[in-house]
Amino acid sequence: MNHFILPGVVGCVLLALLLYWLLQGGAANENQLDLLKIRETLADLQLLIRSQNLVARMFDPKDLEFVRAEGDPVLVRLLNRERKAAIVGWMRRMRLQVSALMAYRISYARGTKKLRPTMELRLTLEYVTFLMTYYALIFLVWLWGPFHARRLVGSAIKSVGLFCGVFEDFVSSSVMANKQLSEM
Amino acid sequence: MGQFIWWICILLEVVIVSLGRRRRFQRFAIFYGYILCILASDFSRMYVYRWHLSVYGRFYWISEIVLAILGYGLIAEIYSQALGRYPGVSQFARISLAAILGLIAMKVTLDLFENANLSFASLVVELERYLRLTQAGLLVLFLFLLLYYKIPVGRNLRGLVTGYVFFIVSSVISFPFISDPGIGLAHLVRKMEPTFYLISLLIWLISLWTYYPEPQTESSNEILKDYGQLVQETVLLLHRARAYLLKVAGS
Repeated sequence: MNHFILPGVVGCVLLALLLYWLLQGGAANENQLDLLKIRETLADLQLLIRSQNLVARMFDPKDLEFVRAEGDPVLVRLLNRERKAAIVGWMRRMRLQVSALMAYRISYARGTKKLRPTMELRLTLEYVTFLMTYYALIFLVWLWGPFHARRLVGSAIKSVGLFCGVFEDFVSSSVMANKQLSEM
Repeated sequence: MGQFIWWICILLEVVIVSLGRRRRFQRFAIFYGYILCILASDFSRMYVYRWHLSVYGRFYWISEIVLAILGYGLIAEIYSQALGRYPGVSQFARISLAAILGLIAMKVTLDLFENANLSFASLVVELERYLRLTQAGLLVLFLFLLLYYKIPVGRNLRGLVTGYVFFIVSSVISFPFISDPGIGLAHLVRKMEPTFYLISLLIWLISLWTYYPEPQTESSNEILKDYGQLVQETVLLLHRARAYLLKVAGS
């Protein structure tokens, strides 16, 4: 039986990757390294995560308690809907910025002569962790509503922090490599 | 019907080999050599089947192993054509390839020692199974690298890769049925195998009929120049961003 499972799994994975690659148009080179765009993305991300008061406000259960005290279920539903949309929009923007940084990093990595496999793996792992947290949060906000997902938002923000940390290491090591290359 | 498909396959192999004589396609020299070897093995198998039937089984499996080993040359060509312009990714691929091949060589050696009492035919079949599965693994890594680093690939190479992946997928999945004719679906799979191979040949023929130049890549020196202006600023920005994030997460 084992003789069938392994070839079957390997064959299906390979076929799925091939189809995905073909659907992507042979992985077209869309993310050219653009200095201005990277600066814009970084500035955007910084602005986004600086809005800590706004984040705290979006998840504050006091607003819900206040509206509940008014006794109108339509208002409670409206508040939930509005907060849900705001949180999802905020998270989505953060994901897009982080993904854009990742895409620029890949553009750089593609052209560089000295790729560091351990750094690549670390960054990928941090990115995957962030994406998993992001999708879990979106699911929980959709399932339970915005006021029950506060803790997960904290961990999503933490994972962006870790990603930024690894990205920092990556750019620092790039500075070193750059200096060494220019000295040669 | 099966015989008819085999004759069409041989005809297509001849056409593909003749296309390889064009100068522009000589960068795929190993591919055309590989198809030429398949063609030679088709004719020699026919000869052995007609005149030396008693050794046909042994001859078939040995020629399969030789072709599978030549397939590694083709994979090396695919890797070097696609990643050759990206030295960093190419080096990363070489390290990963060495690790994968080393692990598989160890596993095969251990298995062969464990099954030292196997007959020659069974050993050959086992070896063939490992060779095909390893090729599939190397292609998985290749496609993953292309997707991850968004490496652009020209139409000719894309067709070559598509045809070869399809060929390897069909042979990996059909192999257990072909090596053990007693299995229920074996007869059907054996009948289907030439059709799968025909599809691969058609993909190769269509994609290699016309020459398409490889897409231009950005110069790595330019990237480094641009990147140099950016990195100091980025470190500072990210440091600040990180501090803000952890503050928010902790609140």
